[in-house]
Order: sequence, then structure tokens, then C-alpha cells
Amino acid sequence: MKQRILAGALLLYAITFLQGSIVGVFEIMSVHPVLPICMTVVVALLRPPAESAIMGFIFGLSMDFLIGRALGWYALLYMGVATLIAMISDKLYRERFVIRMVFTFVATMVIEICYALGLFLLRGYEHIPWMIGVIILPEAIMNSLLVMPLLHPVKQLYHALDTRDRARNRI
Amino acid sequence: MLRLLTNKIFILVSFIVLIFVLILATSGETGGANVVRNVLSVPLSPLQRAFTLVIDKVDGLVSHFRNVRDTQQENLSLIIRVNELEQQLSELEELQKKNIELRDALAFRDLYDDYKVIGGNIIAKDPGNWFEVFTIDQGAQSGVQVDATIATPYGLVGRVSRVDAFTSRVVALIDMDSRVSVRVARTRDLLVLRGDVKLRLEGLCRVDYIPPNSDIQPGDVLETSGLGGIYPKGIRIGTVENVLSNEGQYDSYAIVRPSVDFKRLEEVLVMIGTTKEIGEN
Repeated sequence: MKQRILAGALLLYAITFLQGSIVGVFEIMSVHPVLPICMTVVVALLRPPAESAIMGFIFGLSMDFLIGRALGWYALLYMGVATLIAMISDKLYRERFVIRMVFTFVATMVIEICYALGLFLLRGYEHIPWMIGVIILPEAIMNSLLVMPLLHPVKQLYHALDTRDRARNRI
Repeated sequence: MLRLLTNKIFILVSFIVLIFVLILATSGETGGANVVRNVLSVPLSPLQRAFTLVIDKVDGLVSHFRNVRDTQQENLSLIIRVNELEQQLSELEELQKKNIELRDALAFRDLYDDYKVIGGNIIAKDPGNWFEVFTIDQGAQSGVQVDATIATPYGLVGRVSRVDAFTSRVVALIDMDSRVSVRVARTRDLLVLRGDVKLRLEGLCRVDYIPPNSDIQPGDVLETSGLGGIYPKGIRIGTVENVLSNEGQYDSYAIVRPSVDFKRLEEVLVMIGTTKEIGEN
């Protein structure tokens, strides 16, 4: 368990560091991809709903910390999306890259539209269609491309952790 | 007589005498032995000419290859030297640029000598696509406080929204939650500048509620007014790009291009101590 927590913490630090520094370089039309969403989808495809929900919450909370505004918006959205994906991923052949791309695209659209509605509509900002077309859609496309190489390393990591747990339980 | 002719000594002496006669006959430049010489030189000269031509060609070929090799070596050494010089030039240009920036920063610091001004580097940018916030490497340990002004020698950047031990989070001027009280340098009109989600992507911001009697025009420079207690007075903000009227309204709004290029911002100045504190002091 301790190793699982440590691995999760290291993953979180790595994602947070990359998002704040390197991922920002890959900007197209002033929009850059969001790595925590990709990682949330990958974890949700690999793990059961409860674990996916916790990891989604943690990734969302890290985004809230980085943005520096009210904590909880992204945490709630990431947790909800991760739970839903984990609940239906069992029935899918998750190795296929199309599954990853579609889930990431839809997850990004749902999370960001909900965030935009919560943040902007309540302030009386009406340009939601513009935001969807100019900010959210490009971000969703970039995320669905960025998620491609992430599944295998995370799968290897969880496989190593599960193997250790099984060996420990056997002893 | 016959015995004399066949005598070896006689033959030898005769031969030697003949040679001396030949020497005497051909010793001058106009000696008459040209016929003998021509017998040798006429058939030999074409052969000699041909042989010399061949030797010259071979020598030329060998020289050519030698020259090519020498030229290659010289070329390589010149390329290396050019690369070294280009690198030195690039370093010098960088130093020159840095020198100018530091001089401008010093001038800025002297202008606002009521404040403690420290330099900071941007170490992380906004993780999402909605806001214009970034993190700098100065925090509470360096004396940074919330609402500290962040600027460059060329214009206002924003303010500190959150302070951690070693880092601070900065809300930029073009962030949608940013509001700055500004004054038009030419007309002295007081206005409010704010960020906009749409304009943020182009690095612009806007000034709203421009009254009808205001004479603001494209090209006007905006600076901080000092009102509000956060930003010191007189820091340049940007220039007006366009003045547009609100449909069905009496007022107008203007699009402003900040003096600072937020996409290329790397280093900032943190002004520690707000005007409120200076007023209290």
C-alpha cells in the first residue's frame, strides 16, 4: 500500500511539473493540452472505479492548486469523469488507441464545458459557443493525441505494483 | 704504312687529335657543327616535347589533388573558426541585450525607490487554458506579500495573488479577473482596465465604460493611476489599439495592447510594499 501511495504521489508530482513547465510549450492557437485530464482517463481505463475516482480527485485538485483559484471545481469534475469511465471501461477493449482517444476527447469536452459553464455563465459571460470552438475543442483534440503514448507506461507501473502486492499477500 | 695505320697507339692518338679538332671547331656559338647537332635534335625534339607534355599533365594532376586536399583542410579549419566566432558573436549579443535590460531595470528601480524591488523568474505557467497566471521564484522568504506589484522596466505585468514560502502566484494584467485603475497619459482620463477571455488569447485587454466626452484615441498611452492602493502611480500599461462603441449604449470601450509581451515573458521585477503601506508610513 505504501508503495502504491508513493507511486501515486510521484506520478502526481511528475504530471504537475510537466504541466506547469514543458506542456505549455506545445501551444497551438494559444491553447495547450492538459496532461492531468489525459492521465485521469488512462488511470480510469486501467483501474477499478473507486481507485479511479481517488486518482481523478487528486489530479483535479492538483489542477486547482496550480490555477490558484477556488479549490474543488476540477477535483469534482475529474472525479466524476474518472468514475464514469472506470465503470464502463471493463466492457471495452481498452488497448485500442481509438478507445483512448475517444474517451479523452469526450472527457475533455465534458470537464471543460462544465468548468466554463460554472465559471463564466454564473458571471454573465455569454460567449460559451466561442469558448467551445476556440478553446475547448482544440484542447480536446490535443489531449486525445497526447494520451496515445501514456497508457503503456502507466500500465507497466500498475502491473509492477500489483505483482508486488500479490507476492506480498502470498507470503 | 699499313702497319702504322693498324697500330693501336696511332689510332688512339689520331682519335684524340680528331676530338681536339672537333672541340676547336665547335667551341664558338657560331661553330659549324650545327649539322651534327641537328642530326640528334631534330628527331629527338618531338619526343622531348611529348614527354614534357605528359610530365606537365601528370604534375598538374598531382598538384590538383594536393591543392584539393589542402583546400579541404583549410576549409575545415575556417569552418571551425567561423563557428567559434559566430558563437562568440551570439554570446556578445546576449550580453549586450542583458546589459540593456539590467540598465533599464536599474532605472526603473531608481524611479520607484520607495519600494524594495527584487528580480524574479517565471518558473511555471498557467496549467489550464482559461487564466493568465504564472508562478515566480520569489516567495515569503524574500519578503513578497499578497498584492505586490509585478512589473518589468517596460510595463506592468500584474499582481501577486498568493504567496508560498519560496514561490508566488501572479495574476497577469490580461487575466479575466484582473482590474486596474488606469489614466490616459495624454488626456488624464481615469478609466478601468480589465482582462477578457477572448482578448487574452491575443495578448490584449480592454478598457470599459469610456464616457462619451472622453477624447481617448488609438495610440494613447495608458499608465497606472495609483488609485486602489495596489499599483503605484505612473507605471506604463500599454497603448490603445482601437476605440469601439457599445451598441445601444452611450459609452465606448477600447482594446489595449500591453507593453509587456506575456507570451515571451521570462523575468519580472517584484515591488515589495504597497502604496497603502507607504501612505501609512
